[in-house]
Amino acid sequence: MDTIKNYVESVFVNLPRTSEMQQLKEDMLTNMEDKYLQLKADGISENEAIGTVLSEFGNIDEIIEEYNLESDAEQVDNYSVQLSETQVEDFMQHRTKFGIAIATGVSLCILSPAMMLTFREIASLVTDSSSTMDRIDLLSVIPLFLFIAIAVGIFIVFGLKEEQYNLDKKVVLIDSATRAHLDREMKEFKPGFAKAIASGVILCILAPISLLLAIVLLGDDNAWSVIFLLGFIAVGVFLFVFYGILYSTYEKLLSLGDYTPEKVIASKLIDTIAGVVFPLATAIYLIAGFVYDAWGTAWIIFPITGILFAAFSSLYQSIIKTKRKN
Amino acid sequence: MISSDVMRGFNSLILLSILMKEDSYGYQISNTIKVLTDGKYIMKETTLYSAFNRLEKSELIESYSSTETNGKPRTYYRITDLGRQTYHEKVSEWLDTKNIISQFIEEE
Repeated sequence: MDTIKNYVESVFVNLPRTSEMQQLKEDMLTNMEDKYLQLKADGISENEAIGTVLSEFGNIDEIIEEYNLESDAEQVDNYSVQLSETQVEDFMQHRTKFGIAIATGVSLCILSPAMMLTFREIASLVTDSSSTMDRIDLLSVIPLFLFIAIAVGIFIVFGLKEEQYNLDKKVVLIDSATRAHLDREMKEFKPGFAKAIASGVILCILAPISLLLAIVLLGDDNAWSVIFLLGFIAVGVFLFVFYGILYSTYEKLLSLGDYTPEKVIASKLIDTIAGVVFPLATAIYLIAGFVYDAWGTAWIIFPITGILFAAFSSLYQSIIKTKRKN
Repeated sequence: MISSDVMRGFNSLILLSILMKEDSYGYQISNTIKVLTDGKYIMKETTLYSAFNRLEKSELIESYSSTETNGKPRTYYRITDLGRQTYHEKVSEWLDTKNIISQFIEEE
């Protein structure tokens, strides 16, 4: 019976949590339980009975269609995007590439000063003349900017690709079979995710240790310590960014975490207001400072704005939540 | 088993005809359909409940909660006067349809 219950729960999980849907879910469960008990009483095996009951469940899209006819259809169009199974697969593939690209870009940015220092260190091994060293110092900026240029290129190319999907600030709707499939995938992904984040944290803790070791072993006037530090951090951050992007992709497709319908809908207005309120606070701060010379006290505007804004965001989110329930 | 596409237009009629006899609830209704058709037509849960919802919204049936069978709380459905009227209209519509279609089938 648990299998049946879990199945129905998983099917209903992306439907609105209204009392109407709750009642419908309970009715269907009672119905399936009756059917299951009858099959068992007829002498059919547990597995076969569950299989029959599940196969006679039907397609939840029928309910969604029926439900949408009565609900505000415009609301659904404005905030939500329905994705087919192939679109979901396509998006997942894109997000994997996107994750690798962005993580690589960020790591390149972190590594760029390390590259500059490596260039100098290697050059100093070759030559002793101080006039050549001056030129090498100047030339060493080239690998720095080269790395940053590559990273920026990656950000632009993949940022544009991401935009094509046009899923930002939209609730993603998927059918129940795709949802069940993604649910399973996410479950399999989670242990790997935990390991990656843990490794990232360990690398970031090892980074200053490597710095200290290099200073102790090679003397405090050497660049290798910084190169090691940045190298460790770059790998750690790569893990954070790549796995973080994959995780948020699952959350987005399954409407979990920061991507619940309330949060996605609320973020539209909240982002707009943030775009007005924070520059305004800065303007007030600068005016208070320059005109009234109140630099000592004017900074208070920032914590106040921050707290009021946080209060507004959570209030607005809960209003939307209650609205959706009714 | 008959495809649910073909049966789509008749689901309301089937449910109304069952409720014409007596008030009933989900499992009893789907079981009646299964038994009467000798397992040839099994109405899926989602089809059944979409149909209930449609019929209730158009006031052809009404629901009430009862613990009549085995003491478990169940949603029962009762046909309304409008429902009875609609049933009779649908029956004559079906007889007409059957007549028209069979003209073609017999000509073959």
